[in-house]
Amino acid sequence: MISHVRLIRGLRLNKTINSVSNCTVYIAFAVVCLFHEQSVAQTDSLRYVFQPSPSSVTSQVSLTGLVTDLNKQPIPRVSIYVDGQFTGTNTDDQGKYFLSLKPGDYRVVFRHVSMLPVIVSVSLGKNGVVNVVMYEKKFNLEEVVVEAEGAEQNVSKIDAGVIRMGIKELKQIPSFMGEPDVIKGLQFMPGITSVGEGSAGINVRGGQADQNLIMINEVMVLNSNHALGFLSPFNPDVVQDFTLFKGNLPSYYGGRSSAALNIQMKEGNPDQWKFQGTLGTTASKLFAEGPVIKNRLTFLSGLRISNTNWVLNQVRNKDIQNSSLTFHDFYGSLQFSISPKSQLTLNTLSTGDYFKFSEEFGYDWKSSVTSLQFKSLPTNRLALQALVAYGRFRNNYFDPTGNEAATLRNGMDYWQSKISALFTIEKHTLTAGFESIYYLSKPESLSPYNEQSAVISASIEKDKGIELAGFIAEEWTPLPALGISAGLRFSLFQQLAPDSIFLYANGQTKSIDSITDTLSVTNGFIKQYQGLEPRIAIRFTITQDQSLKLSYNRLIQYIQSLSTTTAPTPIDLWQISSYYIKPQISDNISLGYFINLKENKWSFSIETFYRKTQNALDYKNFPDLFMNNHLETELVNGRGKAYGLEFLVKRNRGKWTGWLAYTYSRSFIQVVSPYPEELINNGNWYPAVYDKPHVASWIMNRKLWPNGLLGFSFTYSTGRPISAVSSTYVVDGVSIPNYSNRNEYRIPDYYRVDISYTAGSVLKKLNDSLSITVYNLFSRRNAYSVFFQSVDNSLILKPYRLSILGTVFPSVTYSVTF
Amino acid sequence: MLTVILLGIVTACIDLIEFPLKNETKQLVVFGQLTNLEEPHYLYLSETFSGSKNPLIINGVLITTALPSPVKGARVTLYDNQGNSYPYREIEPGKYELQELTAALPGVEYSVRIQRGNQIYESIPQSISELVGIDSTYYEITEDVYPSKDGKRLTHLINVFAETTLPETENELFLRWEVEEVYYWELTFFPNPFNVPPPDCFVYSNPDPQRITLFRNSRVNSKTITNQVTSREIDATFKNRHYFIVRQLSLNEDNYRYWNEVKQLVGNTGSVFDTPPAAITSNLINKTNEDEKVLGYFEVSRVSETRFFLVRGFIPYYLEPYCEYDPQKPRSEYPEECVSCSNVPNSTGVRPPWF
Repeated sequence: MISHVRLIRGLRLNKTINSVSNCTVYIAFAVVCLFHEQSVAQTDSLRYVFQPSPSSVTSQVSLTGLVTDLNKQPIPRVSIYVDGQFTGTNTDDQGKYFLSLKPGDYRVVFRHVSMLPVIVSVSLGKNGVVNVVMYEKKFNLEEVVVEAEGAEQNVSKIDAGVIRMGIKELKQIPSFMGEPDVIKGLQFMPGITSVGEGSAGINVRGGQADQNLIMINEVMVLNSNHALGFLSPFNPDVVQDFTLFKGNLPSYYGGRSSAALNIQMKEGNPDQWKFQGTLGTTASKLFAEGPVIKNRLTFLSGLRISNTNWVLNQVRNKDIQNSSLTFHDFYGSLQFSISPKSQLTLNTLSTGDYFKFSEEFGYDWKSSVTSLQFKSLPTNRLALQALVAYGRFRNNYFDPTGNEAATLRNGMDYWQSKISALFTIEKHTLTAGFESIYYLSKPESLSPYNEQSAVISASIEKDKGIELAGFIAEEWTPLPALGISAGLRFSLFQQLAPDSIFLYANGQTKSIDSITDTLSVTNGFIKQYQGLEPRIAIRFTITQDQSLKLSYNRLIQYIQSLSTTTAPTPIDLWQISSYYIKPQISDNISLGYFINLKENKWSFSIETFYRKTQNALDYKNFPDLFMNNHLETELVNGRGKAYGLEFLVKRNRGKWTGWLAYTYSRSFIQVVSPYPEELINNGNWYPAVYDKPHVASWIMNRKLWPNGLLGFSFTYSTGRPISAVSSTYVVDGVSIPNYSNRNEYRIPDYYRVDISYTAGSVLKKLNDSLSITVYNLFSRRNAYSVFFQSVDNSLILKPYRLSILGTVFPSVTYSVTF
Repeated sequence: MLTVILLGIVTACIDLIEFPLKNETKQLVVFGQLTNLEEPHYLYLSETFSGSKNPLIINGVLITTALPSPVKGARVTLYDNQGNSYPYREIEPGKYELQELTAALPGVEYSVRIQRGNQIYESIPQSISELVGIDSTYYEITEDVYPSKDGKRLTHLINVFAETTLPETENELFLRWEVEEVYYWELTFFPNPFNVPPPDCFVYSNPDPQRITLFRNSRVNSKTITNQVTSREIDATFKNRHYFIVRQLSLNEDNYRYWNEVKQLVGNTGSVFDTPPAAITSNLINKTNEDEKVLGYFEVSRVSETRFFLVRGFIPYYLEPYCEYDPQKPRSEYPEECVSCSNVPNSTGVRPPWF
C-alpha cells in the first residue's frame, strides 16, 4: 500500500491505492500563491512511496510515467529534474518519461514553459509510475516567462543547435500585422536569417530556404509560401509549439541538408467546446475546438482569411485599386481515442493565395497536406507511431493581357508514410523506423489566358521519384556527466521511369545546342542515389549548470526548389534529384557551451558551427526555368561552405524577460567549371545572397498592471549581398547596366524596432484580448534591395533603394473567446 | 514588382541613395546595325568610364558612373563570307559609317572586325533573316497621374501600337521594335529688321528608350499580333509636325537572346521577383585576348519601317507655350533651346526627305 497526498488549491485529500509496480497514479496540482515567484518552486506537497517487496533487492529502479494537461493531452518536452542528480530527462512526443535511479528518496521537478511546475517527492524502493497532470500558466502571472522549454534543458539536453518555442513565447514577440508567426518569430533567434521583409522562408546556419524540412506533426509541408511571404501558413491559433533543429537533426528527420522545423499543432479540447473570433487589420480568424464524442472524438479547426483588399482600395493609384490580394488558410483536426493508450488523428492544412496586379500579371497558388496518424503506447516502455500523408500544391502564374496572355501551371503531389517505434529502457532511448516519400511532379503547362490570346497550349512532363529511408537513433546516458545521442539514417532515392533524358556532347556545356541524343527509359528507375547519414551529439556536463556539446551530422537532400529569385516565391519549381541533378550533401559540425545562472533565471550559450555542402546548385546567367524540359542546361553544380558563431543570453523569468542574440556567420558558394558559361566569379568563392555576417536581435517583455504585456524588439543585420552596376553603357539608345561579379556588393545595413502591447480582459464579462503592434517604430526605410534604373529617359542609371515597409506600420487585433 | 504592391504598397518606398562602387576595368562597347534597308549603317565604339574616373556625384548622390566615352581612331571593317570587305569611316568621335555597301544582302554572312591598337575584335558571322512582319501603326491618347514633388501631376500620353501581320513560316521568328521620333522644333521668332524667321530645326529622339518590345512566334499561333511600342508624354514638341518611325527588326536567335536579357535587366525593380542581374554576353570577342569581355552587339537584321505623324490639331489638349515670343521678356531669359537649334540635342537643320 502507498499513500499520498493531493493538494489542489489548498484542499488536502488523502487517498489510498494499491501498490503495484506499474500502478498509475493521476495527480493534479495547482498553485495557491500565483503572485510570488518562488512559491511554486518551494512547494513540495506530493509524496509517493514505492516500497520494495521483501523478496527483491535491486541496485537500480526506474521511475516512469505520463505527463498530460487538464485535457488529458500528453505534453512533450516537459523537463524532469531530480534534485541531487547531474541530469534529468524530458518527456518524449507522447508525454512519456523514464528515469533510472538508485533506490532512495528524491525530489522530482516537472517543468514546462507553458505549465505551472509540479514538484513531487518520491520514495523509490522499486520501479514506480508517477503520472502527472500539469496546469496551464495563467496570463495574469506577475512575471513573464520566456522559457522556450524548461530553462535547465538548455544545459541538460544532449542536442545542441535546437530551438524550441511555444506559442505563448511566440506571442510575446511584437509581430507584423499583430499576427504572431512561426517563421518570422524564429528570425529573432541566433543562426537564423531571411533575405528580407516580405520574403518567405528562413536561412538557417548559412543554408538556403529550400534546405529546411518543414513539418506539421512530423508531416512534410513542401510549399510554405503564403501571404506573399509576410506570413507562413501556420495560424498561431492552432499551433502548440515548434522545434527547429539547426544542422543537428535526429536521424528520424531527413531529406534536407540544412535544418528541420517541426510544428506541433494543438489537439482538440476533449471536455468542452471553445470558440474564438479575431478581427485584425489585415486578417480575420475563427477558431473552434471541442468534443464531438465525449472522451472519444475531439475536433479542432482554425480558419484565417485575409481582408486586405480594402487596404488596396484606399490607394489612389488606379493600378493598385484594380489589384486584388487574398489569402486564406485552414487547419482541421479530428482525434479519435481508440483506447486510453492509442489514438488516431486526421489532420489537414490547406492554404490558398491569389494576387493580381491590375491587368498586368497575377499569381494563384494553393497547397494542402492531409495526414492520418496513429499513436500507441503498447507498454510503458514502447511507443509506436505511424502516419500516411498526401500533399499537393498547384501554382498558376498568369499574364492577362496582350498577344501572349497566358497561364502557366505547375505543381507537385507527394505521398509520405512513416512508421517509428520508441523504446526506453533504463539509460537508453531507442528510436527506429522507416519513411518513404513518393514525389509526382505535375506536368507544366502553358495555356491561353483568354480568347484573345494567341498562345499555343503546350505541356511538358516532369519527373517523379521516390525517397526511402530507414533510421535508428539511440540516446544513451552512460555516465551522469555524459550523454550521447547517436543515429544513423540510410536514404535512397530513385528517379522513376518512364521518362527520357537528353544526352549531351562531351567537352561542352549542357545546352540545347549540345544535345546529341535522347535516351528513353520505359520502366524501373532512371537514376539512383543513396547514402548513409550518421548523426551524433555528445554532451559533457561540467557542473549541474554548465555543459559542453559537440555534434556532427551528415544530411542528404533529394529535392530542391529552383528559383531565379532572391527569396522563395509562389512560382518556384520543386525539382527532385535526377540524372543530372545530384543530391545535395552537407556535413555539419557544431560545438557549444551552455550555462544557466541563478537557478535557471538566466541562460547563456555560445555555439560555433561549420558546414560544407556538396552539389550546391546555382544558375547560369539568365536561366530559363519555365516550360523547360532540360533544366540541367540552366544549372551549375558547385559547393558551399558556411561557418559562424552564435551567442544567446536569456532572462527566463522575472518582471522583465527576453533575450539578446548575436550571430556572426558567413555563407559562400563556389562554382568551378571548364566551361566559361558555367563559371561564376571566375571560380572564386562568392557570398550567398543571404550571407549576412552580423545579425543581432534583442527581445524584451514587461508585464504591466493589471492584464497587459508590453513587448519590445530590436533587430540589426548586415545588408545582404547584391550584384551592382559597375558601369553603364548605351546600345541603340538603351542604357544598359553592366553588372559586377555576382553578389559583390551589399545593400545598406538593416535596423528595426517594434513594440507591442497586449491586454487581456478588455471588456468585462468577455474572455477577450486586444493587441496593438507598432512595426518599424522609427519608420526606418530599410532596404530590401538596391536596383539601378534610368528615370525620365536619362541615359545614366542611378541607384535606388526599395523599402518594402518603409514606414511605421501599426496594427490592431481584437480577439474574443467563448 | 510584387512586393512593392502587396498590402505594404501603402508603405513601400523607393529612394535614390548613395551607393559606393569600386572602380572597374575599362570595357569596350560596340553597337552596330547592318540591315537590308538602303540607308547609312553606323557602328558606335565607346569605352566604359569607371576605370579612369571617380564615380560621378550629383546633388550629393552618387551616380553609378558617367556614360562611356567614344573610342576614336579604330579601324573597322565589315567582312562577308564571299571574300568581300567594306571599310567603315569615322564620321564623328566614336561613330563609324559603313562605306561601299548600302544594304545587307540575303544569304550572305557578315562579320565586323575592329582593330584598336594591337587589339582585334570580331563579331560572330551572321546573315539577315529571311522574313519580317508588316506593321500597321496607330496611337491612343491617354491620361495618367504621376506623383511629383509638389503633389500629383496629370499628364497626357501618346501610346503607339504596332499591329503586325506575321509572315507565313514554319521557322522561328524573332522580332524587335525600335521607335524613333522626329519633330519640327519651332525656335523663337525674335523680331528682326528683315523679318527673317528662325532656321528650321528637326530633332531626332528615342521617345521611350528603356522600353524593349520583343516577340517570338514559338509559343503563339496567330497571323497578327499587337504590341505597344512606345509611350510618350505630350508636350510642346507636338505643336508642329511630329513623326514616329517604327522599325521592326527580324533578328536571329542569339540577337533575340541578347535583347531579351537586356529587357530583363532594364525591367528590374528591386523586388523579390527580379531577374538576378548578370553581365550580358556580346557576340563580339577579342581575338587577341579572349578573357576580355566586350559589351554590346553587332546585329544584322531585316527591317521593315513604317512612319506616321501627328500635327497640332490631332492633340485634343491645350499645349503650354514654350518658345513663343514675349515682348516683355529679354532674349537672355529664353531657354537656350529656343534660341538656337544647335542647343537642342540630336538636332539638325536639314529637313529629312520624307518630312
